[in-house]
Amino acid sequence: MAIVFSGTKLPQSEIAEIQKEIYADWGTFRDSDIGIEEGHKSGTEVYESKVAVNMAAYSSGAISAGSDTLTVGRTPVTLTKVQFADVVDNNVLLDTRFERSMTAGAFNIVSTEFDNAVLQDITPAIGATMESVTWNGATTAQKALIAGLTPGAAQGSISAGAQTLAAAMPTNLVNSIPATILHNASQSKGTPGAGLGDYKKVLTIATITSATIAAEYAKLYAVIDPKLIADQQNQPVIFAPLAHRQLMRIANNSVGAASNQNFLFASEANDAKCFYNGIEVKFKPLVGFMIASPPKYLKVLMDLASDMSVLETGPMPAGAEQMWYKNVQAYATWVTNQRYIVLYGG
Amino acid sequence: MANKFINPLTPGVTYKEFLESIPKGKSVKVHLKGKLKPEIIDWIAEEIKNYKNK
Repeated sequence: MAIVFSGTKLPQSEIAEIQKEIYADWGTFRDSDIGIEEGHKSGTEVYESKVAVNMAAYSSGAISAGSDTLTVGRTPVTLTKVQFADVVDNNVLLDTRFERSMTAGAFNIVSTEFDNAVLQDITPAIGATMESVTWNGATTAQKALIAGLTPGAAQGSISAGAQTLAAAMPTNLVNSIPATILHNASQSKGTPGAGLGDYKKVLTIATITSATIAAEYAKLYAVIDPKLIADQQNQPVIFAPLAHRQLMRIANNSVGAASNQNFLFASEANDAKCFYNGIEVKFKPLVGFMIASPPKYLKVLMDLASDMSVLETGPMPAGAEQMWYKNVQAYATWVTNQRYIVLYGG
Repeated sequence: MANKFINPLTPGVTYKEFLESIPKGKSVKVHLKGKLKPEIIDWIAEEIKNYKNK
């Protein structure tokens, strides 16, 4: 006997686990890979000092004024208040699997499964965004300032390649560390005030591939001030784009007899610590730039770093069957002791 | 009279000044050949490409 069916055929099962996006955590905030400075709401002041003394011929007489310089620079830095907020209408979830976890009663449309499986990912997504904006991006104003700098090849001038990279950065509400290195208004620079950062750049850079990565790191390493390499209390770190880990592994394991282990990994694990000539390499969502600097010279100023994981929620007013959520943060990047920061690509 | 050679690696020299010093019709690479190391010439040529595309 023939089966006669009329109507729409629907799937009768579902994969239990909701397949999720990856929310990257590159350790910038979790591990304080750079200087995370808390306790600032709207603005703060950064002081930098530098003392230069001169040897003089001995005299048993009274000391007269000499030519030593004790320099103190004071720079105000303004934090930007940003938010992540939206309105959720749970009615959209009707006619989906989430309906099953809604309490009986037409007024009840909050899905516990949706809350546990999707809504709770807002916080890690915010964390991933904050990681991203810390290492890549600039405000519209900052992009204009960087574009306005006069490019040149020598140290002390921005490279045209850096201007191209900065122009291609995402336009954000805050400035990333590379954007702040390129242009800032520090009073502690050789030429105090708004303008090109005091960073050191790497000349003759080339496209980085698994074949060139060792040579490019050698160029970067050579520019680092030897004083930093010798300073055991304040060791520099190389902050590199995420993809460099893979390029390094490929370079270390290149096919053929000429393979050299230029990059030392602490283990075979994919999250193993990496070192180049004794300097730790930390992988961050940088694009085009690399930074060699003691971590504490690169700063993120915040009210509380834990603000990143605070998500306030509540019902919308006047009987609306929607709910709001909001995360608020105060944020700015800053750099100190710029003359010791090497910006590859700068 | 021949143009005075302007080394783009000299501090303070801008790409604008450097380009103005190159005789008409001569490429950056040809102009710098023999005056700077090949890898520096390649980099400067790439830089000038970025500069002109600004």
